[in-house]
Amino acid sequence: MLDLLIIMVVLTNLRLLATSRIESLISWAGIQGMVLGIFALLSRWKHLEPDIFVVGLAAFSFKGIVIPAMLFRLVVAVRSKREADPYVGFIASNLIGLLAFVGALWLGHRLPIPGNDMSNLVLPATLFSIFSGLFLIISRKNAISQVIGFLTMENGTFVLGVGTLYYAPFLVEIGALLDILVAVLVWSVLIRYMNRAFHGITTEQLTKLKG
Amino acid sequence: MTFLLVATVLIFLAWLLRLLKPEDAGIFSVGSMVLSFSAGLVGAVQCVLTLTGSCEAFFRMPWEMPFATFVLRIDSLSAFFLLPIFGIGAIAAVFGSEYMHSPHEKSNLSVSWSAYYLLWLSMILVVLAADGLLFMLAWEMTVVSSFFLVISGDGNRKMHAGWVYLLASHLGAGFLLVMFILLGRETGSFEFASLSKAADFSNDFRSLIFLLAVIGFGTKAGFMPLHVWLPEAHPAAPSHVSALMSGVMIKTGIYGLIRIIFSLGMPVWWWGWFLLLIGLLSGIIAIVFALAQHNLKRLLAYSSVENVGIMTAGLGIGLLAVNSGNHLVALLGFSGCLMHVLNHAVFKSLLFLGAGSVLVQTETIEIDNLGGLFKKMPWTAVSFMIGCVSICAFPPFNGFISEFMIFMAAFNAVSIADSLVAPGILVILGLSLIGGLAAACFAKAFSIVFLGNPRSYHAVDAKESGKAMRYSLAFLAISCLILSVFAPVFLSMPFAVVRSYAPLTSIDLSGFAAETARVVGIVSLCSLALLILTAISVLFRQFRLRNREIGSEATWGCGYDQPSVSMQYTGASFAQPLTELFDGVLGIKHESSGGDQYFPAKASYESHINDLFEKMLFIPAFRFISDSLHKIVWIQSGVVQLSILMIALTLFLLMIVGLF
Amino acid sequence: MITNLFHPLLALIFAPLMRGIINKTKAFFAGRLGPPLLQPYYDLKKLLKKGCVYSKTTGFVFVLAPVAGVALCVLCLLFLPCGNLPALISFQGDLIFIVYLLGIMRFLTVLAAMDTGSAFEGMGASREVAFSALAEPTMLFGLAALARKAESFSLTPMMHRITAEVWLTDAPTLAMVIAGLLLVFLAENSRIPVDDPATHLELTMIHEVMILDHSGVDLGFIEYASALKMWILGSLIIGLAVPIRSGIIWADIFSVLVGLIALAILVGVIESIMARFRMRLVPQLLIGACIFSIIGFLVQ
Repeated sequence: MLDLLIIMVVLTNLRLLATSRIESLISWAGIQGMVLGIFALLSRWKHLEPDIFVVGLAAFSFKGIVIPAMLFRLVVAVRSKREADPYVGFIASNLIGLLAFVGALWLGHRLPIPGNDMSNLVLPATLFSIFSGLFLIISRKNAISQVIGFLTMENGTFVLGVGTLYYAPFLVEIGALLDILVAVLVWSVLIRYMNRAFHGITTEQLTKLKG
Repeated sequence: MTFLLVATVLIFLAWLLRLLKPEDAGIFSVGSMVLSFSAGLVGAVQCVLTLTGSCEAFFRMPWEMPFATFVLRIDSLSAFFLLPIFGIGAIAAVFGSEYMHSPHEKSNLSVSWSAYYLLWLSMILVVLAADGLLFMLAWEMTVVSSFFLVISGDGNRKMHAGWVYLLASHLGAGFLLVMFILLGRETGSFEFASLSKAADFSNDFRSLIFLLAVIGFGTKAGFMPLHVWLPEAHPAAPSHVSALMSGVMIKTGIYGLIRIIFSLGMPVWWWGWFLLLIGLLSGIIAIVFALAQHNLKRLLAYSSVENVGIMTAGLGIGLLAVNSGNHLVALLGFSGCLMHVLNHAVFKSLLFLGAGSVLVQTETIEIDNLGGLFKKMPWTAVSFMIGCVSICAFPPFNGFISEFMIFMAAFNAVSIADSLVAPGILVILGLSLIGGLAAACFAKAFSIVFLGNPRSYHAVDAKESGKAMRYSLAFLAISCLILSVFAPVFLSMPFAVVRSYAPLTSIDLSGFAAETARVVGIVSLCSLALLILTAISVLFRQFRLRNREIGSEATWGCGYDQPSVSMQYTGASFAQPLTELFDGVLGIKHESSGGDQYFPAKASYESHINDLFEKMLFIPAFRFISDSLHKIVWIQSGVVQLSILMIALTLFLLMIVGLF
Repeated sequence: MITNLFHPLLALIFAPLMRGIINKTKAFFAGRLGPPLLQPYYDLKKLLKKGCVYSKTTGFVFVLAPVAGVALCVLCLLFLPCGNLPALISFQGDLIFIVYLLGIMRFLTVLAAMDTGSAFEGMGASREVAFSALAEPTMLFGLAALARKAESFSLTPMMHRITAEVWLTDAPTLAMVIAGLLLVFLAENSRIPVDDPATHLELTMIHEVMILDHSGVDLGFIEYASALKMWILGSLIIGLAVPIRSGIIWADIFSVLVGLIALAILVGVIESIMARFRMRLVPQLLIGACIFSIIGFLVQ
């Protein structure tokens, strides 16, 4: 069951790589957040302690509902184009994603992590999420997709965090969750300013800032 | 050796008859045809004897050549490759005797036939030669004789094709010469008998030899990116020669590669990987290019590259299996590769001869100018269709058997052997992709050429070809079926070859061989059952249709009752969804004008496709070389005295160098 | 031996029913009464009673494709196990054989379509070869994942070894492979979202447009063959998704039957709630299917 959820995370990553619509980027990032929340709750279901419960619930609501809702409002507010303007197309993105997943699996088998008593897919999924996030940031022009990339990377570390929760204290997890909430807030303010200054949120325009 | 001798004499006699009266289409031509055919039969008997009884023959003759010895040897490996050389050589000669007399062919007959028989004989010599230098001599003879055939052919770019071919072949031969000299220096002799000493050398040295062999023989076999000469030379040559070149000659490259690998002992781990990746990449890229071609013979040439890729992939997974000690996979990989050599020889020559038959009747080989030939040329069409089904590896024909064996190797690797999962899954992915694309490619080739209505005046007046051409097509088509239905019988031949591979000689493969033969036997029976089931359902259809009305109408055009020929789908439009998908590799240039207004007006569309590697790799490289050489062209002043002075100076320098 | 014949016979009898169930489901969603459940049988009966009309352009290939199609599907049925019941013919590699038999069936259908010389049928043929070239790797890859799991690449031992226990330990692999195979199932049987069997515009069809010119007995053969093809691919999926391996004939056959009916209802639901994809998106869908089976292979 947990394996299936981790695979869901991997698949949502691939879906994020494959889509070029801002709306679907945001909603799939949200779905990924919800999956992660469920994952956190189910991972210690047999002896569910309050701190894990809080982490799972917080992840589900922040990652799955609050942040996507904020981003959706942002899209409306800045009247963003609906395209993420990818530099890399659908097939190429997916192929690169698959290769990265193969690489992540290989690395994951090479590096056994201490305290991982759940699934040997935890580390590959983490690495792959981090890669997907980076790839989204690098290969898309629209500023909102950069936020999504950042979220995806954080989701990756969250998988690892839950996988090794015995070692990662509760405070760190909650702290990280609050951090990304603040980060997304800052991002959305920035994007609003960017929209006002450049009449658009394509990152290409940032080159105009060059002296 | 007696059979071989008789076969050679028969070939010489056939050649002689051609030379006596080259223009004659009567008794001399028929006599030569019969002699060639019997030469093929006699030669094939020798191959079968060697392969079944493993009676290896040896022949040594005094020779004045320095360093070289005239040694011929027929063992299971050379006998296996000799079989298609004799068979296809004979059939192509029969086909050619009518083809060369068609008004379409304008080349000098005596030169053309001399080159043909020389090519045939030199290929026989290539696989029989048991001495490095003799081998290189025969190798060069195949190149030169086929070069003359290419430039005597009917392509409008034949000179360009000829030069590309000659250049590519000699670059490849250069690597081979270096390889043989290195081997000769280390083993002390150029004779193949001493090659087995190479098995004890260091890994680095053996890997160097392996790389040289892959480049040298790969040029002949058409590994990507060394394949650029194939799509130029094969369409340019006369069709029966294309059949011989594509069906048989490129296999001498595979032969050489296997010969060298077999004498290098236990493979180094990356050899198999190298061949596997080369094979799969060649296969996929070549079939994508084949799909986009407009010229039928060019399409077939690219598909040869693809099939060589499949063979190489089989060889690669076999080598990897030898490394990891999985002998079932090794047996399946190697024998799948070898069976594909045999099968491809049959169906690819069939397709080239079919294309030749079309070319003679319609005087064009542009796919989009043809159409509707099925009713006009039923023999050619049915044989060509059988060839297409075989090459797409569909049951019940022979192509399926060999691809099935390579698939078996891959599935065995995936399901049983832990160390071979990655290569196995790559082979499955590659082969299935190649299979789907090949089906698309040959659905296009067959349906645009033979089905629908004629697309231009070329195809309107076509008639069926004459007897010699028809029968040779039918012979090959029936061979496709025989090689499939009696596949278990033929399997003992590649098994004999695999047993001669040094790392496997000490291992008892008979259990694996019997199991493989059993499975292939079931597949053959199922192929037969398929034919019977089809016959039953045909009978059922006849039964339902008796006393019923059979109507005849125009094709449904959605209510439009004035359909014209130009409304049919063309080859380019048929392949469009896939060529668009692979546009990153193909880089097709589109040129269109008109056609975007609301009301119909005159419009035109053209698409061009260049070879990826020719465009990106070879043309820039050769331009660089020629530019660099232009800088030292001042040396050649044209004054005779200066040239002689330079020769003298060079000699003098060499002498000084020799002294120290 | 006799018991091994049950599944092929069952398929021969009940295959057209699947289409009836799909249509009934769609009618239910649309709030219609819909055609009777046995309508495919009535259609077949009617078609087999008729004569034929051929286009003047067509020839031998056009006649060959429908009859060969039925023969190929019947041969395929002999390789299909049913729960724990072994197939009639079983050997290492039979799954490759099935894939290639379906391949030649498609090849012949494409040739028959091209034989009419119609632009519409050319269009359908061109799309069919393009999409199936992408569907084939998915199918073989999915089967390879199962072969690795079951350590055999013959369907009978494979189905024998994929039991409920395997579902407990390797759910991700099986789920991914089923997802990939389901998309292939939809594409190969020309269902929504790849192809719309109920459309009225020739331009938007794939499979239906290829058989525009077939009539009478030939059309009956084609309809029957495509019903059989749906059964063949469906029973592969059901074999994985319903891991009932009792070994009791009736239980196994019953589970497969119920599974196939459920699959038909699922297809009906999908067709009711989804629209057909734009043609340009279909390759992306099939590549997605391939990614499913690749991930299924990788995560085991």
